Amino acid sequence: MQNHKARRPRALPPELWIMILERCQLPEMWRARSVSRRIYALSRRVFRLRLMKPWTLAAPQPASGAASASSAAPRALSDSSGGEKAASAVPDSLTILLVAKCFPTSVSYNLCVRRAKTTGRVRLSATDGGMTKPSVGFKGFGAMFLSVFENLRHDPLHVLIADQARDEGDDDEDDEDNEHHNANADAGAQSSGSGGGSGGPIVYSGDSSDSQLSTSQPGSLPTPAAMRERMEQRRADFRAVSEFLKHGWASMGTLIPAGLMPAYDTLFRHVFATFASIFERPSLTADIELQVALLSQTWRVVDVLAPPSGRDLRLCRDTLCCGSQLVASLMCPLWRATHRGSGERAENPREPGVSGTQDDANAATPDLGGPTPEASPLSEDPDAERVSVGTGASDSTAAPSPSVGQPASTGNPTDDPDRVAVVCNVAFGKAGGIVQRSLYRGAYGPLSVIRYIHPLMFDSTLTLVCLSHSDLEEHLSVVDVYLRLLGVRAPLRFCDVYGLDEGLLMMIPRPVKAVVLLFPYTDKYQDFKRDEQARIAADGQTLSPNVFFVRQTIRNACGTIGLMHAFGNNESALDLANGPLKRILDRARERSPEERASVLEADEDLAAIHKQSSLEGQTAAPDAEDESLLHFICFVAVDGHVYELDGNKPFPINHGPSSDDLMLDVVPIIRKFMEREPDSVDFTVVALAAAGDDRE
Amino acid sequence: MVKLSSSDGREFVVAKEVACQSVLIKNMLEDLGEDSDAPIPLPNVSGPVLEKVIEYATHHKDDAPPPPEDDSKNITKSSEDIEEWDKEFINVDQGTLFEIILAANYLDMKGLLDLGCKTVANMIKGKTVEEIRKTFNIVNDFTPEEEEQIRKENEWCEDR
Repeated sequence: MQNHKARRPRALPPELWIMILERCQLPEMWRARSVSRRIYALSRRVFRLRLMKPWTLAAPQPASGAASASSAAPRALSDSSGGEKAASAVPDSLTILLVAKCFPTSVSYNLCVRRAKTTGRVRLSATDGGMTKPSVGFKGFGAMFLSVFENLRHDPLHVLIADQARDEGDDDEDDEDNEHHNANADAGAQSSGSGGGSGGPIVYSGDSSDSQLSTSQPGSLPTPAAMRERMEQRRADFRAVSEFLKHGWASMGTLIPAGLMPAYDTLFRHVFATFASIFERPSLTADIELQVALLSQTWRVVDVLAPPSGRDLRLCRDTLCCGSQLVASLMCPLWRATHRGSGERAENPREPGVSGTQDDANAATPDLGGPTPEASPLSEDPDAERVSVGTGASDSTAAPSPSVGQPASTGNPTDDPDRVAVVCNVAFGKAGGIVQRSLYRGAYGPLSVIRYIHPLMFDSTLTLVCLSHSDLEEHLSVVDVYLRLLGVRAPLRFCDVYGLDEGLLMMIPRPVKAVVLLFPYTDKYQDFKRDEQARIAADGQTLSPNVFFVRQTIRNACGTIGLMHAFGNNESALDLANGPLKRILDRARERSPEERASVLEADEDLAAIHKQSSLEGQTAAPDAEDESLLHFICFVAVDGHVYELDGNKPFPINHGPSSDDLMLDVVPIIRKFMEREPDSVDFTVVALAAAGDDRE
Repeated sequence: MVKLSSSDGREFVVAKEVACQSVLIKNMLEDLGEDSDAPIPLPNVSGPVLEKVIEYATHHKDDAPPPPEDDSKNITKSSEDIEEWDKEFINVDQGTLFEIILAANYLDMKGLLDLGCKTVANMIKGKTVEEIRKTFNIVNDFTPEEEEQIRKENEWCEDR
């Protein structure tokens, strides 16, 4: 390698090159890899050394004893450049045993190379103190990782709770196997091997091959002082990892070549394990693996809106390649506490209401608005077999729904009152390891729902919900029904906005005509409102005469008022026939904002439609005397300005000039709302937008 | 005082605290006992290089001892923070630099080794792959396919 002409000294031995590379910044280090084979091989070790500092590589587990851990790294180059070569050279699986100083138990990871060849992914299963936690490999999840990371970092739950009361469920079918693999462009050259773009719902199935039963880890509770001390220590570790992630990892983004999987894997595992230990939560590893498994299917994290008091991490499948989508929610007791009220209604998951509650907003439309024409066919009975790992089902969905699908429910009575409705109004319980497949019909059209419910510690549940519809035209949410009943003929519908990050916002069909925000109506907000009004009263604001504004005069009508704001300011776009809404709006326009409310309230048609669509949804109407803590407001663009229309305020609030995309205009405003209530999860955003069905 | 003998037979007499910057020599001295005045043979270090090494050790003889291995887990070993004297000291041709690094490695002198590695790392900084090869006289032994593969892997750090 070294040229010995001139006065060239002896070649530097590998360990010195490692030291040199170690002292390079990350980009240089990477660039240096391509200098020669030797440095390429070395850089791999550097990667380990550099990032794995607290780790030592121990001998492979004798049980699987296929190859030594160290052989994983040098192999990678040939792996990526020639799959066959790797096939013959390496055994099917390698086991890497990692012993971390910062982690109480050793973790071993099993890399299944066969899988990597067929799917372009590496399958990993971690053995942690006797527990085997299998997972699927990953492909490109830098962004997701950071999201998870940020989420966890601000999550006091993991820091505060040391109760290891329940850790069951890890032993059965936390082995998820994503059968449907997208032939997405992102997948790149390496992964085009398998089954491309069938676009079906994902199915989680048990995989008998590595179902090593395990024993639950006995939990021992340290003293609070010791806990705190250890926490501090681990937080320091955490910060170190954080720094790396921010600077190194973020820039890597999603470019994770398959050939580098072993190296990256080591890194990820390390970081995951660090998370787990920091948060005193061994099963967290499994949780994240689950998410990683999803991401490996080009799922993305679309929503990290979760405030510190709870978490609601939603993953969403890239709708470009599949008509189905997945929403995952990570639940924790705190979240549940704030939503206990809605747990009642969750009894009937298929029916969202019309107005006034958060459930309704959630339910507006389960699809994010980006379904493609090649929606998956629904009848996938072969999959149903695989689903059979479900040992039970919370009957919360099965019972009341007109389910024509094969109910995977085998009993597991839900004596658990803690059910909550989450995403798309699908309720779930905390039964263990459920995979449930249900088929809904009715106002929604055929809708296949596959749920994977993964029990976590501390009464938390990770639920993955996969929705797909065979016929998107038929798929209408209750709010859409409401729209039709009102006489709206334009192809508009209400779309859930699942998050404010760019990727997700892109999934909302455009143009967006109005954005409805449901937010907690707290004392703090009322203070803010007073200040805001005083400021506007003093400074004045531009107020277009064309803004249709309604004062709210009765309680719990803010949903209706919010909708009227959305409609009233977009009448031209609604293509109203001579339906009820047209009449209502015409009548209301003659009045003052204060009088308009009474028009709405007195309108019998509206009341009838309200009732009718409520029946569609069968949601128990909220008690009129219920203390309504949530409030609907609406954002619209009129005459070049964005207006906030809040029936509880005396006048519309001008939020400045609008662009041609109302959705993007509104995002910063909503963020401000969220910043004011950092402890609340009760934010829901719904966009009135062009119907997703009608898009290309 | 300690006598050191380089590979080409030159003998250097240095103060003990200077010699003991090298963990190797320190251990040897402990093994040999205090009263031995036989020269310590250093067959892996040539005279000129040993001279440089002694220059370094003399300058740094009053430094605090390096922190134990376990504490040095600071991941970001910056290649920036090199002292002025060190910078001047290490400003040598590349052959000598490599020799110094090798000697520091052999003699187990953390500070000097670190300095040498940092210096090489700085030489790598900002260079293209081809320039790195040229600088260090490394032959590109990748096949074109492998090179293409690596180029893909490296995309994220290029073009920025």
